[in-house]
Amino acid sequence: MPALPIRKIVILGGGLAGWTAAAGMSNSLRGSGVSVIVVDASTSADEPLAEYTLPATLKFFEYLGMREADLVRETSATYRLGTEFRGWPLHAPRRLRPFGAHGANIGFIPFHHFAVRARQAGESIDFNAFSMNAAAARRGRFAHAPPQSRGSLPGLEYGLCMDRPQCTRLLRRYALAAGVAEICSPVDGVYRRNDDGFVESLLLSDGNSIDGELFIDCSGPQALLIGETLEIGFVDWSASLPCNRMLTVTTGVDASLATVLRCTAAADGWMLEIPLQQRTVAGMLFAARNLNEETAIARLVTAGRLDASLRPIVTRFRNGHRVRFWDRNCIALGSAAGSVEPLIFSELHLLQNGISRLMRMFPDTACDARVAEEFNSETRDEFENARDYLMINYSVPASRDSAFWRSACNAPRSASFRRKHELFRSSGRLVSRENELFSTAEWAAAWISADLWPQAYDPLLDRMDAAQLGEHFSRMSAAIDAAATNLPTHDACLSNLLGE
Amino acid sequence: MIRPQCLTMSRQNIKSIVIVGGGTAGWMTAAALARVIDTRQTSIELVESSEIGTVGVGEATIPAIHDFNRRLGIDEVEFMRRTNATFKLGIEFVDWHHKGDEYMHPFGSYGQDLNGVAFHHYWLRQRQQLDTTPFAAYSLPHVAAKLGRFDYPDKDSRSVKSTFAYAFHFDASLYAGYLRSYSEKLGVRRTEGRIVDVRQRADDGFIESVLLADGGRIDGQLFIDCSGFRGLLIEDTLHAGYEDWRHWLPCDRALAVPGSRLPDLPPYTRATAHSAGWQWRIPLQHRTGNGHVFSSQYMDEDEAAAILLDNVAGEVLAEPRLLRFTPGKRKTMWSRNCIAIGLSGGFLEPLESTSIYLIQAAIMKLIEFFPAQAFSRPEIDEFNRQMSTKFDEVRDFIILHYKATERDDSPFWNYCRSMPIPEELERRMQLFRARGIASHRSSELFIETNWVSVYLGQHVIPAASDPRVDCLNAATIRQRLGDMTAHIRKAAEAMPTHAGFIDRRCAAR
Repeated sequence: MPALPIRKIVILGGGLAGWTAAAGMSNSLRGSGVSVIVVDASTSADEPLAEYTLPATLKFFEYLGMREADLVRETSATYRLGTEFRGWPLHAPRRLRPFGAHGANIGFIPFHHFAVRARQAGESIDFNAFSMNAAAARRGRFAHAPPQSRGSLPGLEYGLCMDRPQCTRLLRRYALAAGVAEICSPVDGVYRRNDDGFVESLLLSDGNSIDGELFIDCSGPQALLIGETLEIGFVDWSASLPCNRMLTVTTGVDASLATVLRCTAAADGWMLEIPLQQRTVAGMLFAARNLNEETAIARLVTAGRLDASLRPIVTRFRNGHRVRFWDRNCIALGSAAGSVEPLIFSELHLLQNGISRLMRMFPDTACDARVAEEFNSETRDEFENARDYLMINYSVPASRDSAFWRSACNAPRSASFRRKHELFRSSGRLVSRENELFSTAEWAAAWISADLWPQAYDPLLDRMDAAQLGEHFSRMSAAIDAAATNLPTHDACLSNLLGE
Repeated sequence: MIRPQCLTMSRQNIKSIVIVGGGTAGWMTAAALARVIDTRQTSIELVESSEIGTVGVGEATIPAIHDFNRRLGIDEVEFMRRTNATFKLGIEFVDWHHKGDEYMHPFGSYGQDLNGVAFHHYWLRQRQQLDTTPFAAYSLPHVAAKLGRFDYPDKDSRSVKSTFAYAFHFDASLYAGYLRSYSEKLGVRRTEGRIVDVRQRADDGFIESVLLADGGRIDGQLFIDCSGFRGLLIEDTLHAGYEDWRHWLPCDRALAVPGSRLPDLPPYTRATAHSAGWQWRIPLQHRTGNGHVFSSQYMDEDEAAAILLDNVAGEVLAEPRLLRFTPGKRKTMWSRNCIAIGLSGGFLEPLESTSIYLIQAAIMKLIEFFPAQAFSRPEIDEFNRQMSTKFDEVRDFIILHYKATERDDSPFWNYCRSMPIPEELERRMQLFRARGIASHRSSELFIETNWVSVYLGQHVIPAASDPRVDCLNAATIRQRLGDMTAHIRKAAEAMPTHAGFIDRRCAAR
C-alpha cells in the first residue's frame, strides 16, 4: 500500500471521548480538507455525570479557542482548587491537597524539606498554611488574578468541576460547527483489509458502511475496535487497584462554596462529591467483588447523599490499559485506551493528552509502526505515572476492617512506585526524570497530605538559620492568610463571571 | 517558632569533604559545594599535585554553563576577561556526511512553528516543492555565526533575537584558577600533594583517608574523585568498573596544540572530520585551541600529528600533547562515600562540547542528593541511575554524527557507517526517517531542535513530514517562510562583529 495523506477519519463513539477527539482533531486539521466523522453507537450511555480536571486541562479548551466564561457557563462548572480527603488517611477528618505550590524554594532546596525539619524539631506544622490554594479553598474563596499588592505571593491554580453530559454536548456543538459529520447508528461489524488487518470500514445496522483511513476508538471500556476487533490485550491493574465501579447521581445540594472535589473514605470504597452550579454530583467508587451495586446505592443513600428515589448511573471500568493504544490504523482514546481510577482527575486529562500526542504524530495511510510504537511508549509512561500517583492514596495505613481496604492497601505495588516511595520516605527526595503529569512539588505535597512524611530532610538545609527561616515562612503564611481573606467568595466570582 | 537545630538533629551531617584532584572538575566541584555548604561547619579540602598535569586546553561549552555560573553568582564579563573567553553560537561540522559538506548545530531554534506544527515539517514540505533555501537560513545563530557577528539575545519572546542562546570558549586552566580563588575565598582549603595510599574502613570499605607522599594524611567523610581518567579512588580503590564504548565511538586518542589567535574570532567551534577522527578548533581571545581526536586502531600518532599541524590556521605555538582515553562510563559513579566527577566518571569525546556539562550535571545531582553521614541507599541508587542515563543520552547523540555518514574513503568511516548502534538510537533514527519525529525524553539535554539540527545536517531526511502542514495553503507557507529568512538575515547583519563586541565589552586585561 502506498503511503498517502489521510483524508478521512472515523471516530467510533459519541461520548465525551469521541467528541473531545472530534473537536481537537477538527481544530487541528482545519483547512486541510481532511474529513472527520463521528459514529455514535450509543456506547456512552453509562458515562459518569461529572468531570473534574487538573489545571492543565483548561489549556486544551483554550487551544480550541473557547472562552473560559463560556466553558464555565455551558458546563455548569465550579472552580476547583484541589481535593479534600475525608477520613483518608483514617485518623484525619479532613485533609486538603491543593493544586499549586507550597511555600517557596530555599535557594535550591525544595520547600518541603523545611517542613520536615520543623516537624522533626517538634513543631506542629500545617503544611497547607503555606499554600495560597489551600487558604482560599478553606474559605470558599476564589479569584482569577493573583491577590493584589502581595508581590511575591503566587496566584491560584485551578481546574474545573463540570457537568459531563453538558461538556460532551458543548464539544459536540463545537465539532459540528467545525464541519465534523455525525451518524447515530449501532455498529454491526467491522471490515478489515485482508493483507494487513487494517480497519477499512464500519458496518452500520442499516446496512450502510462507513469507510475511513484512520479509526479512533472512543467506544469506552468495551473497546470495540482496539479490543474486540483488533484483539489487543489489556494490562490489568485490578490486583493492586481493585475499584471497578463508579456510581454517580445528581443531587440538589448546592455546593457553590466548595471549590474542591471531596473524596470520603467509606467502608467498601470511597465516596465523592463534585460541586456544580446549584447542584452536586454525588458518587461512589467500589470493587464489584466486595460490594454489589444495590448495596452500594444503599450506602450512598445512608450517607445522606441522595434521595432514595434517584437512580444513579453505574459506570463500569477496569484500572489498567491496552497493551497497545495504537495498532495498525486504529488509535484508542478515553476509556477504550484504559482507565486510571478517577480519584484526583477524571477521564478528560489523559484523553486530551492522547489527542495532542496523536496530532503531533499524525500519520499517513501507511501508519508507520515505528510512529505507533513511539505513541504507545509515551502513552504507557503516562498511564504508569498516573497509576503511581494514585497509589499514594492506597498506601495510607488503613486499619479499616473491610475486605476492600485490606486488599487495596496490602496489594502489590509497581516497581516504579516502590522506588519513588522508598526514596521519598528515606530522604524526602523525588524522582524527576520521567515525563511527569505532576511536578516534583506536587508529588511531595501528595506524599505529605497522605501523612507519608520523609524520615530525613536535605542536610544542606542545616546551613540555613532555623529561626530566621522560620520567621520568614511564618510571615509568608500570614500574608497568604490575609490575602485569602480578601479574596471574593467563589459564589461572587461565578456570578460576576456569568454576568448574573 | 522553630527551636535551635542543634537540639533536634535527626542525623549526623557530613563534617568533612575531600576533593581529590584539581583541574576543571575539582575546582568546579569545590566552588559549587562551597556555595551551598558553610565551610566553618563542614570542611572542604582539595588535594592536587602540580606534578600531574590537567587535561584543560581550551574548552568549548554549551549554554547550560550559564546555570552553573549563575548558581555561583559569577559576573559574566569578569569571568570572560579572566579566562580569555569568547562567545559561542554553535558548532560547525565540516566533512562529516561527505567531504565538502558542512552544517552547524547552533544554539537556537529554527524558524517558527506554525499552527502547532514544528517548523522543520514546513521546511521539509518546501524542499519537496524544490525550494532550495537551506535549513540553516532559518537559524539566527547560524547566520550570525557565519557572518562573524554576535550580540546578546533578547528576552522579549516576540523578537527574533529571542530565538538563540550562547555559550563560551575559554581557557580551562584559567577557569580552574578563577574558580580556585573563588573557592578559597569561601573557605576551601587546598593541599599540594601526591596521593600514595588510600585507607578504607574495615567493615564497609568506606574511604577514611588519603595518604600523601610527604607523609601527610587527609581524613574525610565524603570523597569526590576528580582525579581524571585514572579514577584513583573510584576505580583503583573501590573497583567500580568501567563500561567501554569503543565499539560505538572508536576514537581513543587526542593530540592537542595551541595556535595563534584567529584574527576575525569566529563565534563558533569547528569540528572537521578527518580520515580516522576529527579536529577541533576553539577560538580564544589570545590563542586558538586545536586538537585531533582519532582512533589508534586506524591511525598512528605521527600521521595524526601531521594531519593536525597541516590543518592549524596561523602559527603553531607548542608541541602537540597526546591524551589517551577510553570512551565509556564508570559503572557506578557513586560508590560508598565516593563520587566520581569529571573524567573519573566517564569520558565522551568533546564533539558536542559536553565535558563541562557532564561535570556540572554531576555536581548539581550531588547537591540535589547531598548525603548525611548515614549515606542512604535509595539516594545513591537514584543518583547513579540518573547520571548513568545522562551519559547514555549524550553518547547516543555523539554516535549519531558518526553513524549518519556516506563517507567511504577510509576503513574508519567504513566501520562507523556500518557499525551497529545502541537500540534506542536506532529506534530514534528510524522514527525521524519515517515521519520527522525527533524523539527524546523530557529531561534530556538535547531536545527536539538539537536532534533535528543534527539529523538534517547529517542528511537523515524523513520520508514523510507532518501532514498538517497542508492546512496552510502553499502561498501562505512560502510567504511566511520567506519573511522568516529575511528577518533573520536582517537581525544578523545588524549585530556587531564578534571581535568588536569582545574588544568593547570583555577583552582580557
